[in-house]
Amino acid sequence: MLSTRKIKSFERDIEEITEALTQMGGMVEKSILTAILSLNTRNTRLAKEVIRYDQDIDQKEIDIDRLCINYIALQQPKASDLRFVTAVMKINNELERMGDYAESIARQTLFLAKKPAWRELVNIPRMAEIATSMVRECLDAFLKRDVKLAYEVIARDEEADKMQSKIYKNLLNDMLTDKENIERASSLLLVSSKLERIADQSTNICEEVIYLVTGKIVRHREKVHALSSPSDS
Amino acid sequence: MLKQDIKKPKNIFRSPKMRSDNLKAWFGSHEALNEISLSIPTFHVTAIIGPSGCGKSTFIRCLNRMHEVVPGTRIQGNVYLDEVDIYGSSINPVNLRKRVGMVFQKPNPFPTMSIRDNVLAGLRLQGMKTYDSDEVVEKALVRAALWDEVKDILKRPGLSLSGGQQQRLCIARALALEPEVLLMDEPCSALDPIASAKIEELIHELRGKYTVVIVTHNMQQAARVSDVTAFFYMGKLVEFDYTEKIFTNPKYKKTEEYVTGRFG
Repeated sequence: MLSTRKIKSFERDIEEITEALTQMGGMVEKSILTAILSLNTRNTRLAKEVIRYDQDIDQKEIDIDRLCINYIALQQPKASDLRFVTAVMKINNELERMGDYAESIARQTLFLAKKPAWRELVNIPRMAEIATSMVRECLDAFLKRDVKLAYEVIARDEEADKMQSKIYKNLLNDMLTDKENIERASSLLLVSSKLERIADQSTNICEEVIYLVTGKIVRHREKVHALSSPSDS
Repeated sequence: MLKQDIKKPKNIFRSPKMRSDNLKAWFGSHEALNEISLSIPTFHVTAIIGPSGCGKSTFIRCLNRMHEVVPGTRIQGNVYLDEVDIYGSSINPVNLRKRVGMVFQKPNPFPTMSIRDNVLAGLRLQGMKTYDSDEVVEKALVRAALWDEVKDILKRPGLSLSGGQQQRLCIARALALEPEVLLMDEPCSALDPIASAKIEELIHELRGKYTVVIVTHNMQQAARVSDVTAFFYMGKLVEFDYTEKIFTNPKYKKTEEYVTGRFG
């Protein structure tokens, strides 16, 4: 009978991998939030914690990779199970990169904390909010296999891009106004670009979710559309 | 320029070597196949997968009229070879089986015959005179990837070979008849992994020269050797598509459940 259900070893493996990836997502989210908090509050202790914590994230990435490789070798997954494990390996990689970006932001906190307090970070916390909510939602989309949510997150990337360009203009203006601002403005520019990358990585994760659920590859679509002229079609 | 380099997949289903049309088959009152319409692409490897009793062996036995040799069986529908109905009144099943050869699950070389005579056995049974039998033997054994291992022991009994070699000998026997289609009914199920790998390599070599249909219980094997895969379930064809599609993103839930091992 097709409907007879019992937990098989490969299903236990899938559960274990899912749980590990969920933990990884939580760790990365925590790291990003702490990095932003350290920046907002000029708290070097928190920043150092984030830098140290990145080692745990790196280790978790290796653990998840190992789980996936064992699963492929021992279970030889097919169809949705195969898509699941390839998606997890890519998502794992994206999350690890996000952890690196959080670490990078924390390093900017250490740098900026040495400088006198300067302008308010106006748009950066807002951008951090967008980026972290995208991270949370892309992981939700993965856990719930929610394609609609995945597409919604992808659509929000534009918001993050716009915010980044706004921040860029403001900081450029600061630099042009007073060259004393250059070092600090460059540092904040780096922070905003990392946040923008975090938003991008979230959309990559959503693309993997769409592939996992539907089998459709939606990566690089914009690029393809932008490059193709009407005569190509 | 770059764009021209991207090869579009050919539609290999367009001119099939064999084709079944609403094929039904019975063992007594038991319906083993239910309206199977399937096109077997020329010079490609078609794998047929499905749980025991799904009708996959019955299906390939209908492709060379072996099903009808079992008492109490019957079929309905049509099977075409190069668009000619093989169940037509003018078709001689013996001649048909020369064009559509078969290799069975268990290697079955003729026990009293030498390796050489085993290769020629099919031709002799067909009443064909083999003027240049040495050449026929060598050619068939080379094609079956067995020549190098047996060229110096051709007079030894076929049964003196290992299981994997015996199976390749049976393939050589089938190839000696210069078939157009080769049907393989679980050809590796009685072999160890190394012998199986050799047969798989051989199937890879045969692609492009012969049209191969292989029935297998081993899904990994189907995934490795075939270009297209048909999934049968309870006598019905559930899904038929390119192998990579079946194993990465099948269209139907039943196929998904089978290939991911969620049956039972």
